[in-house]
Amino acid sequence: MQTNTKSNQKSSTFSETKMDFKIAWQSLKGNYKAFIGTVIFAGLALFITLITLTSILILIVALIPTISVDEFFGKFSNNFGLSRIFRILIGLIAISIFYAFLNSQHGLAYDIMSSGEMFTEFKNSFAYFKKYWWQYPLLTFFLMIINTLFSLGYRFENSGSHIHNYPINIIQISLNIGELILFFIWFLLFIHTFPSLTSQGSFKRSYTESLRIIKSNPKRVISTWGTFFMIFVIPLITLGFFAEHFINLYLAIAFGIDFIFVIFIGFPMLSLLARGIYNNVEFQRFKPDLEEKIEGN
Amino acid sequence: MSKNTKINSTEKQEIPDELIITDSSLVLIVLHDKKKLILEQLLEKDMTIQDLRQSIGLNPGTIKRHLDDLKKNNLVFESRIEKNDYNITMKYYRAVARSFKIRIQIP
Repeated sequence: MQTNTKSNQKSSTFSETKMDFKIAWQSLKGNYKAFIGTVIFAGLALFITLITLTSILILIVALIPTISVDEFFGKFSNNFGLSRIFRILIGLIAISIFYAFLNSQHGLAYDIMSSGEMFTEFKNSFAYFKKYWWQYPLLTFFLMIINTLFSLGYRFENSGSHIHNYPINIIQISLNIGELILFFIWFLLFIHTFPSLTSQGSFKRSYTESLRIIKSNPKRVISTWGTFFMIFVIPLITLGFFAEHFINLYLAIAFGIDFIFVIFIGFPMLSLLARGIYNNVEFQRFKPDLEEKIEGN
Repeated sequence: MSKNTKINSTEKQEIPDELIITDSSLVLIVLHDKKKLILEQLLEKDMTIQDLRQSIGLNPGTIKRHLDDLKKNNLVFESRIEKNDYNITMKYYRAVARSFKIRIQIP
């Protein structure tokens, strides 16, 4: 009897996960132009920002008579520290714009599943970019904190040597698996901040709601995002790891193909799955500001 | 059996059998090919943008823009909002009358 109940629960969680993926895939198929357009535009924005800001920096350095451009950007320059700060700053600005556009897909998912119109258009991503231009990148940086810390750790440990020079041993592999597990847990805790922010418009509430979702529906959340990781994240990390260590053309091509798959299918699926779970699961929700104001009046 | 949940409904609103249009600016709107097509679909039943897309084959973005125009001119209204099994919100639209007649008198 008990076994039956357990197996029923398992099949129910699995069928919910299946439903999450089915609805997300159908929504993506019906609105693929908007999602793909947003990804392409995010990539272009990253590229254009990098080129523009670097050109401006080169122009400014060229106008200073005491410093030559070659010397400023050279590895053995006296200004290496300063040029590094500028390069990091430019990278941060460009990646923030990229994340802001990419995560506008959470707004597109809101249009499809919560606005009532059941469809979205590419131009709507600009409206979400305008509305959440600093919140989306900040949430992304917070979500990526585990990977950033590990990446910094590797750099310090190996004194900046290139990744394919790292030894592959059991410690290295355990560290990578540990990073992935920690990232998965962190991801489960905070991924629903994105749909919550899009619905509520409040940074603080989005963290509270995200934690409430995982607390109230751990099985469903672990099952759906675990499947997502198995399809999109683990293959990419594994291929990336091997492609870096064993410089091999076929591995590099496989990594490139998987990267395109993740960017064009994985990211839109992520925003649609997150929105689907946010809408579908039971948890203690905050009322949107507008509803509260109406009721207050 | 549908498990849709109504979250807002104006179904009780009486829909008149006929609306006579005398305003010349509305005539152009009603006679616009695509708007007329949409309006015809909404005379007898309420539909979502996706239902309209399936029945008339227009792009949902185009349908939305025409619906907004029709709504702005009080020819169409949002009849109800429902949530389906998966909690996807669905907005239904309906024409404000079951038939439209145009009457222009000059002078």
